[in-house]
Amino acid sequence: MRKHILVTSSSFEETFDIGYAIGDMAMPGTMLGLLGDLGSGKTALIQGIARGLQVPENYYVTSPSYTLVNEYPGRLHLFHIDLYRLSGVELEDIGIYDILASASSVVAIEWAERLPEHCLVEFLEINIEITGEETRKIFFTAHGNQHVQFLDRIENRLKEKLWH
Amino acid sequence: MYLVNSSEIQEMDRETIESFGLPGMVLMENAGRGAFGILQKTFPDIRKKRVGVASGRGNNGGDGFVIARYLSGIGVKATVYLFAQRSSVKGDAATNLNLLDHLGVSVREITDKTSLLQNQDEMSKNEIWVDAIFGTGLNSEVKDFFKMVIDFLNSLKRPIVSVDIPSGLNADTAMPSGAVIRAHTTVTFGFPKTGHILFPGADFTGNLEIIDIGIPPHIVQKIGPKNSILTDETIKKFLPPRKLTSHKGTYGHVLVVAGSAGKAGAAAMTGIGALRSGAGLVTMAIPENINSIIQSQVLEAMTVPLESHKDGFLDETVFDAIMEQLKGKKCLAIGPGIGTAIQTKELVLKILQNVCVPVVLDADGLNCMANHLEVLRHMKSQAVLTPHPGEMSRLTGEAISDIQRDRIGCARRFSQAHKVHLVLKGARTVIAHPDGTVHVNLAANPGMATGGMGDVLTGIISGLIAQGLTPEAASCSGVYLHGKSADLLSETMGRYGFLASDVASTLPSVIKNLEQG
Repeated sequence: MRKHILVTSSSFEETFDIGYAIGDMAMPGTMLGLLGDLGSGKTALIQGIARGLQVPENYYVTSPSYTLVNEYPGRLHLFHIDLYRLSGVELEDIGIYDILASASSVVAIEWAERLPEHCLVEFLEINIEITGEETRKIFFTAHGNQHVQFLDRIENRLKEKLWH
Repeated sequence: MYLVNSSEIQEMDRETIESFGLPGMVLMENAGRGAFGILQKTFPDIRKKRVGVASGRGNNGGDGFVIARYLSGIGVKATVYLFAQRSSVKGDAATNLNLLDHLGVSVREITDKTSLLQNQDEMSKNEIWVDAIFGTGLNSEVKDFFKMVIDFLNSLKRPIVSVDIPSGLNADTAMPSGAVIRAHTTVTFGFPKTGHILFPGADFTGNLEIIDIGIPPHIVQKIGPKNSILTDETIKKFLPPRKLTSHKGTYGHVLVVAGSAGKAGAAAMTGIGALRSGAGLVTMAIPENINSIIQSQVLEAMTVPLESHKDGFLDETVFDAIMEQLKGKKCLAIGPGIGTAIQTKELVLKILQNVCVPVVLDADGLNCMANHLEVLRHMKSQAVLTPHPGEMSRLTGEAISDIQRDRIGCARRFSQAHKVHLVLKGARTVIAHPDGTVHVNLAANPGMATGGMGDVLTGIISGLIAQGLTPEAASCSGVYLHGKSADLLSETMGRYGFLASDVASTLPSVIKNLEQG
């Protein structure tokens, strides 16, 4: 089961707000695959997601490109993972399979395509495309029942930002 | 091979100059000439190229001046860009800078943003760059003017050879400080530094070349670096010699306590790892509900099916049976797939307090003792813990990102505080020992492996201990052989589709290659 929607953002703040909505509605087991070029606003989106999950303000939410995994406490635990440099045995060595199996957390993964196929079957793919200096198109693709229903609710919440 | 930090190498340099009496000029000459040799080897047509030497005012810049001198000696058009007032260059570096005047090598002083902008067009003409701006002593954030210089040099997309360390990289933490040169090759002196080897530093370092500049061995011994990189030679010394007349019992007997309903695979992988490492005998103490799976998956192991809790996990009622099984065993591997039920935690803690043979503790076993670290101090035998960063975070209460920013320090502190051998898994697995020494493993592991690799590693380390290796030797050898096996497999089978059990199966040939090579 799959579903697509397209949302637009005209600023960093708006991308943050979209993230906030995602975090606010996320459920235990929500899996997010983040795609987008450098400077597209993935960090703004994840900062919004963290605040939406009620991660305390004193947690500095930043890219995990040097640490591979960032973990934040919130209404639900948030893991932010960057797989750019990882492959093979290292995936297991950083504990990725344990994180994916933790049904009580929210997991956001950059470079999720580095995972073996069977590891990420049900998830919400979020692809940010740079369309101008500040403007972005954000493509959402939900895979699997639970995430399709999640995307239904996001669609409802972000009605005014939908691209038709 | 030693892996040194910035204070160790500075101390070695200082001792070499002051107590041994080798002049600093000689060290600088050896460093510069060595780096020049690497430039020639890396770029065979360098004579036809324009080379820019980006220099700071310190000794790193001094090495750069020596390189410029040798380049000019073979007719290369080299230009030195000095990002400091010429008058601020002192000592050996100043002497080498002055030599350039006699050779007609152009030295341009660029000390502010305006002069950088004015020189950018001319700088862009260089086809190869030497980065001699900052060395391993950098201890502040790179910002403003120097950030602009480094960003500009990176933006040129020309190959950069860094002298000693990419400018802006922290030699001890491997983390960038503000801005970092992205090097094609780094030529370092004496020994590799932590910053070259750990990530993300290794990404900025590029190919690493090590030049001997003449630090005498007795000074190296006196400083006694705490960290080293695992190599074939290290592991060969650790491996047990095989006797032709040996029988199964000679190679020790491992007890594996693992598995729960739905998690039989982890237990099986641990048993297979132990067997493939060469342990003579393996006994699997497992909940009875997974006995038939284990018997069919690990044919060569003996099983001891234990009465389990109704939900399929082991609880404290099997404590006596497990202690009975430990008689005659050389090592206990405990944890994989065992679950984290409260009753299982109690069993694991009780076993740890009573066991008299070395223990390898992994996965759920680690999570079981996360809030009971005091148990480690009360153990009668040595322990090897093999956490990944998430498990380490549960053990220490530190955030995963903080652990990842200081993998060596974090592993060492835990190992010394709790007197255990700690294998912190990840890209560059770190193995810390209670005496404060640390080993780092470099295996590349490009293959896309399936789950279960960690369980196999637990089995391998316990199997090696059963064969008489010390926990230190076994944890290092286990990590190294496990990585080598995965590397060998991805060479022969390609990147996709090999299993953790394949890694175990490849182990004997990796050990054989090592013993014969």
